[in-house]
Amino acid sequence: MAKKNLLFEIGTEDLPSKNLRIFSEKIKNNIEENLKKNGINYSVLKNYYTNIRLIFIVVSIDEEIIIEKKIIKGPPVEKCFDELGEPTKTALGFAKKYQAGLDDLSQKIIDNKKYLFYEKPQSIIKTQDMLSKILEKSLGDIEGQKKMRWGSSSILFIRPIRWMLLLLEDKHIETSILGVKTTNYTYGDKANSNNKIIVNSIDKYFESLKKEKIQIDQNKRSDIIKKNIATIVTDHQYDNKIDSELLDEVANMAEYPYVYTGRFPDEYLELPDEVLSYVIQDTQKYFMLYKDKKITNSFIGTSNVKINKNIITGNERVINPRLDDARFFISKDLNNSIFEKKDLLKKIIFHKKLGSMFDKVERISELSEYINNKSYRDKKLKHKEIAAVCKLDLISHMVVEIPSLQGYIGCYYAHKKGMHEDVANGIKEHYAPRNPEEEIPKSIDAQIVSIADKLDTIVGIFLINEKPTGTRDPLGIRRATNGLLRIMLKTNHRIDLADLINASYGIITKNPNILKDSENILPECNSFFKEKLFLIFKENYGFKDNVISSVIDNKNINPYDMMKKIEAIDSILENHEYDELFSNAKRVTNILKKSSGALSLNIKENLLRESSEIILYDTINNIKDELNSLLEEHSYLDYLQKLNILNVCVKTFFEEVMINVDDQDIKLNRLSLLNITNNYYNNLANIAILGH
Amino acid sequence: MTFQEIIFTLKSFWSAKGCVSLEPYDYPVGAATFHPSTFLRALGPEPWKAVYVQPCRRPTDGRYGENPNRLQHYYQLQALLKPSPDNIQDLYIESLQALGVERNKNDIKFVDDNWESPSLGAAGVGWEVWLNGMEISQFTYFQQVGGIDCKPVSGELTYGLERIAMHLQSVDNLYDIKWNNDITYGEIYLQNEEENSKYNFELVEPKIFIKLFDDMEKECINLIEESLPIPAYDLLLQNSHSLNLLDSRQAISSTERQAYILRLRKLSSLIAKKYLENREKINFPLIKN
Repeated sequence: MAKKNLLFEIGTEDLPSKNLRIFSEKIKNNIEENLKKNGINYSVLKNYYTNIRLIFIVVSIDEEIIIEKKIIKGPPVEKCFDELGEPTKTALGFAKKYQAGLDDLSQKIIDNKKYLFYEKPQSIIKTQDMLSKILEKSLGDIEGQKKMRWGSSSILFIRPIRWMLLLLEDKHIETSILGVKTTNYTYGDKANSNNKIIVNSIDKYFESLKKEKIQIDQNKRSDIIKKNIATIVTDHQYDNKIDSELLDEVANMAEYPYVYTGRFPDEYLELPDEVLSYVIQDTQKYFMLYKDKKITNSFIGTSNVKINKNIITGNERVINPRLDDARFFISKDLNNSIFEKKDLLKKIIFHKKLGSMFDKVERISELSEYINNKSYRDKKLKHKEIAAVCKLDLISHMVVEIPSLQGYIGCYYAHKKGMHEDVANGIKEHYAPRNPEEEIPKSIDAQIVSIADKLDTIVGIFLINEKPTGTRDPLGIRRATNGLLRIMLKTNHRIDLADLINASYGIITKNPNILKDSENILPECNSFFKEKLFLIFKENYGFKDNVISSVIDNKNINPYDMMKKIEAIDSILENHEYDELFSNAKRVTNILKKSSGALSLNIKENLLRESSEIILYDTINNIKDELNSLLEEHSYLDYLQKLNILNVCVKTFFEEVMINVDDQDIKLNRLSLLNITNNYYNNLANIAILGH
Repeated sequence: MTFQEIIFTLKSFWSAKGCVSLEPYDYPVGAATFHPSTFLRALGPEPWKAVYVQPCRRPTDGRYGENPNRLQHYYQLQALLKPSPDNIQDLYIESLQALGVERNKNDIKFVDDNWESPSLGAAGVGWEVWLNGMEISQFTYFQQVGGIDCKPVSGELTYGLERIAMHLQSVDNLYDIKWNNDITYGEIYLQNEEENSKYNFELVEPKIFIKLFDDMEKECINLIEESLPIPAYDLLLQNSHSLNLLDSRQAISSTERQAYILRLRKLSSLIAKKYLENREKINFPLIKN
């Protein structure tokens, strides 16, 4: 069958550079799916994009699809003709459905009954006739992307569509997609020629764009920028460090990128690094240049047109006042001594149902103290000092102007004011980890405050019943939860999260002004954390589901301890020496599950009759002190090793001892012995679920 | 090109493209969008094309005349095209060329920036336009105004005149912009910036504006009930400015500010609805043929 290439180019006004890749991929997936649904074969679908183009090339697409002949079974013949032999509505309906004449229908006997049959002949549909529908559906079904209208049309798309080129090899396909007529032309480089170019073949298309110096391949545009930066970096011995997210973003803002180096006065280098990177990188989209890990006063910018002096001085002219503005705010803030104006936090609302930032700070302070009392009882820790000042930069001009600088600015001001090193850094660190890449806080002091701050937010949100739904998570609960758990997984605060949730709940609800929307949130909150922990153990650490479950089912939630247990179990899971431990645990649990009546932990020694039950009892007694102390010391692998000693006794017990005996006292005694054994299995984790 | 020549050039450019050339609105506003020629005219089915300069007041942006790039009083030039024509982006580039900005010698970027004005109940999709890294314009397709979907959609082009002048005259400090060949921007406005910054940040008496806000709001509601959305809109503008002054004076908390914005939004929705009703009553007279 004939194969051709298909080119579809949507020309738009400038597309949002950050989402461009995702957007193009989504359309690509849609086209692939819709081609498949319609049985159209092709070898590969390529997608390219620039700031004003979305391009899709389907290589070796079937020119037509053949729908094979098909035999269709109809209604029974007896229902199809009346007494006079005239066709009934049933027969006519069947024929009409397949656009067949009555003469085209045949009859056949199946299982002693006659039926009408229609043999639908082979048919051929041209791919080009189906394209409009397929492409329209592919452009329409894009979730999660804000769309817009323009002019008088009611079309919805990410940005206004200005042309739509559709070529099947060397043939323009005239049709309309989303109400836009397809064209046989494209446009050249907007910045230079803005030519309308008639293209009558796909080869001509590539040739024309090349002549216009348009690079439609996003990866090649990124490479151009990368190469240019690399040259500058080597020539001037800058650190080799390029922000890859920014690289993609600026590559998406051009049809062909040019690169230059600009400078700003080095007096601004005294500004905090975060301020510099916010201005240079986040707002102006320049690459920062470092030497020995220090920001320099040089930056790299990208342009849509060839570089000339005006472009460089123009860009340099922008960055100075922005940095100057930052300096203005900082000097204003430093004169303002924000750390002495705690009352101003009353004006900043944390959440309308959970009070002001002032209220929150008081709660953080109290919860931090609780953590310290439970885990450290260390009077030298600075958590109270950190808690007292950690939110005060929210009243500074700099943070009001640029909220993402919270924490960093407070830390900078605290250093300037000569505060204790740990306190100053604690202001910055108590927000950590802000994202999956960031480290957890370094000092114990900041860890405590970070846990308290995050937990207060999460428990508060459960209280007022505003848990995150779908994409809506205004207070960043997901981020806070992940951050909190990461800290608790990596640091041994010897504190149970369930207790901590309880404490936080108590502290929040102590304030009579806080309205509870949800009663009894504690179980819900606990299971929320357990679910999150499960995901982290599974996705971040790759542990097996059943190993995680064996630990999570436990009523305590101590992430650090859970990790130690999971590691211990995981390390012996594939070791056959322990097979019997797990299967014994399973067997014991099953027997106890089936038994009715109250089990006790008291064994009446005089009722122990068989030698094997006596041996089991004695062995447990021999090792129980050791087991308990191993558990206390969190030596979980040793605990499991010790427990493994019981295997022989348990096995012989099962082989030699009848449990269901007539004497109820003996039966109960034997079950109780198993119950004690089971407790030692369960003390570490529900290892029964690991048995085969 | 002097500051005043930039204004002349852009006004005649857009006039030649069929825009009515209007004058600034006589109420304090924070942006050219607040001019009734944009806010009210963007509503409903009637076509509209206008160009005007609008002095804008943004009290919090004052820097006592000390920052080379920030002002609490500055000028925007605005072209509103309803419905937005298919070649609107090309027209915009053409207007820059009329100012002597050559497309192939300057890096012009359209940087994704969706616009929202909570107090006007308005939202749009569009860009900041960067000329060699400097934001010189806002380009927005209105999707909603006063809580009402825009059909047809207006294209709004807002030029930051001082920024453009800095580029054209190659000056680093906006106070050095030549207004004409004899007099600079600073000579006209520096003192204005110093005095107003002092007032906005330090001397605004909150009580006055809090009361004014309440009074104007009442009056505004009365006027809407009287079916007079146009004067009602003037009072909304007054209130929006009062809120900005309270803000620069740091007299209100962020929650209070949010509550004030919601009150403005409520008024702007009522005004938009009423204005549309009144235009409908007279059969949308600008729809000709």
